[in-house]
Amino acid sequence: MSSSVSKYVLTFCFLALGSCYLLKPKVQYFIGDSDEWSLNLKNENYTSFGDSLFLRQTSDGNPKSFYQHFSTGVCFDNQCRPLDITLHWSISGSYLGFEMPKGEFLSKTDHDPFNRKEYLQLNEILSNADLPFKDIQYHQLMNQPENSTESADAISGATSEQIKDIVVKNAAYTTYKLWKLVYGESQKFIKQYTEKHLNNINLLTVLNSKDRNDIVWGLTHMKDTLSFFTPLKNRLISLIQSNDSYLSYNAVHAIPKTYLSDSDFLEILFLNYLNTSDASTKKVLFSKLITAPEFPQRLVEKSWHSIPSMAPQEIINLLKLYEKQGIKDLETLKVLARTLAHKNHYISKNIYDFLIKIQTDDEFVLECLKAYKNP
Amino acid sequence: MKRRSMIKSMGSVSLGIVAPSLSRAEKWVEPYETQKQNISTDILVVGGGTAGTIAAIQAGRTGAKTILIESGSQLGGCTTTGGVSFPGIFHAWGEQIISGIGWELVLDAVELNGDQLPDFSKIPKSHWKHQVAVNPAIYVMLAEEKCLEAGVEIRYYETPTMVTFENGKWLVESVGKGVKTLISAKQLIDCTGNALIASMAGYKVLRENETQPGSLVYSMEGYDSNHLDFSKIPKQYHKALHQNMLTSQIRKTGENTFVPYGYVYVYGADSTTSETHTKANQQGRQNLLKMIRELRELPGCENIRITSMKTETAVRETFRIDGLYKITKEDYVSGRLQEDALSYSFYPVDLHRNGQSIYQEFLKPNTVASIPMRALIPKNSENFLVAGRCLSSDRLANSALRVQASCMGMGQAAAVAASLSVEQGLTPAKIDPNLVKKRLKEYGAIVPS
Repeated sequence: MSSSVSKYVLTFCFLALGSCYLLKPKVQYFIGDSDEWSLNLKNENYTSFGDSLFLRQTSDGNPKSFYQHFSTGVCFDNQCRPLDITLHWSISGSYLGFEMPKGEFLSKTDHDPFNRKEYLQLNEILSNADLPFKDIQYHQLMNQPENSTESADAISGATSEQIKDIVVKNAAYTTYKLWKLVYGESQKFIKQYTEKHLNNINLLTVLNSKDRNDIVWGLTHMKDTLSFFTPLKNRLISLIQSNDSYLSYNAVHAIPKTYLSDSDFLEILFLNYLNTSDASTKKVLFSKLITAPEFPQRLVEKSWHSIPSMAPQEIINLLKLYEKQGIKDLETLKVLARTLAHKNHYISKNIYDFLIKIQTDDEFVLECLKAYKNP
Repeated sequence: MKRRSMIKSMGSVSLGIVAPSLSRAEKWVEPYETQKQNISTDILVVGGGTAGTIAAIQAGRTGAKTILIESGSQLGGCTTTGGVSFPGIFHAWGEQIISGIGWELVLDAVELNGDQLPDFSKIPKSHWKHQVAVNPAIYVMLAEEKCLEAGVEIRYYETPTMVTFENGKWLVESVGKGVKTLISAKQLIDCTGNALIASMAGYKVLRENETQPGSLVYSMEGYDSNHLDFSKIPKQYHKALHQNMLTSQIRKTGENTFVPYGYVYVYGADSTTSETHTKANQQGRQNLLKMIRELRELPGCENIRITSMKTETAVRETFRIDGLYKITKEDYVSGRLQEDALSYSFYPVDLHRNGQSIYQEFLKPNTVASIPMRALIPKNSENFLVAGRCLSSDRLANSALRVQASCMGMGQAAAVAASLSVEQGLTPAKIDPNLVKKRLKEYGAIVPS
């Protein structure tokens, strides 16, 4: 009787513990609350670098993301607590999230496990590459006693003022350690690897990322030698036309030279140049237009119609564009000759100088020049 | 031996052949007489510093005949000659608030130097992270090129010695190396930063007894701040050693930089006259010399050496005009928007006090200050404007308004107002501010609304 009771009790306890384990959710937090990066290796291709860093790939071999498993310790007060965690990065090295094996959890200095709010805070901290941790040494995390002679790792005290707002409360060492892992050697390797293997396909993956940092990274790493690739062109156009002026500015900057031979693309650039209100984007758009191998005639014609509504400096820039692109067809000269009547002397003088240099023998243009000279 | 003597004699012969023709090329020059001339212009800008450069370019681009007088040898003022080569702040709370010619110049310098702009959509914890580092040499050349393209006549090494108002025009006697020029101008813009021309014209200017210190900017090398034992170095030197890094003194544009530049304070620095500016420069150099000598006595600093030093002490505060409107600190920190506001300004109230501390008061989220046209016009003046740190403001407001982007915005605004005054034959105070705003927009400026 007693043995059967024991059996029941044991079975009950086993089931209770088992269900606790099974019901307890796995700790995993990702950027944008998405679980698309969570490990599910059954249907995935991957390449390993060493025994812990992996590149996840799509079925056709295109890079998707990186992850790395860390089995390390967070040490303070002369004790080390094990840390079993997997970190995820995009192919440009942006932090994507972390997950832990089932049953594992993070805890604080008082051994309390992290609660959901603290995990969310940690996830946010890890996503911020600009935190000053990189300039802070491990021993600077806690305020040091004035006359301390102990080794730095053996002291726990009040969290340093410098970092108290950027760490999970009572988990400064864990926060710091994880941040350093996210932005450490692995990230450096990922960035270098992707940069070395950058081609149209993986660049498009980066530019299509939901993470703005990825997009900026992709734009600032685009090479001038990239071959023309329509999907990439379309993505560039959407970024150039975005309301985010920093993305727009960098997207224009990133345009490879080869793309400037595409007249449709040039037309989009020219229309954006005329319409954008962001001075920085406008400036780089102009520098692209002026260095294009050719400025198509249909855009020249569009420019004639735009002159009356152009701001003064846009007219001056247009003259520079005409000069650099060797545009001196008679119709353009006539349009400019008519603009000699512009009430701003600075503009009319620049137009006059432009026309004089061309040395045309067209009667209308010559008449306008004569009238300008002798108003 | 024979060969050597032959060569020697050949040398004498050839020298004998050439020397007479060289000496024949010499000719006596008549004693130099100061060149005197009278010239006229629509707009005269005095001072080619941060505000004056922009004012001159803008004035030229409106088609007005423009002369720019600069007492030094290059344009840019504090941004270049003074070494504060990271102008700001053009963005606030994720939006651009100052654009126009100032931003055009900064951006061109960034582009030509292959630099990268910070991501202004991210609001930084420290305001200065949105200042934009520029290569001062490139900035100088671009500023000059833009002036010349706009048809501006630049007169370096000159300074006004007399300012009078006659028959609705300003007569300014300008003296420089071997020249004395009488310039007749329809509109005058004082961009000296010190309200010197306003004062010479008889308008009231003011300042407190105590002013903020100036800074002499320098760089040094020969030590590694990461390996210094700061416990053995007196605290008074820590700042100087942290300001300077072994690797590079040049600040890269970006959000993660934290080393602005090296400077020594110069108390009472005043650039108003040659005498006061000479004193400020001498004092700055003496302070730096003293500091270097002392630093070289410190452990780990024995090999410290100066690698560059600016030729002038950069000045924070001198005289301000008594304008039609005085911007107060309350106006500034509350972001009070006046109907005639022509330009924005964004910076904390930032008063450097006696070298020991800086009084700072930050603007609340989404608050941006602005500059009314009336603050650029001295009381009882005619055909006269100012731009730059000498605008009409109380001391605390001025400590925020004095920064470069704000001065650039003012320069452009003053020039547009002056150009409309020329066209309409009216004094700036009688120009409709809405017309000024409209024209400012045409030239790419951002107008407060």
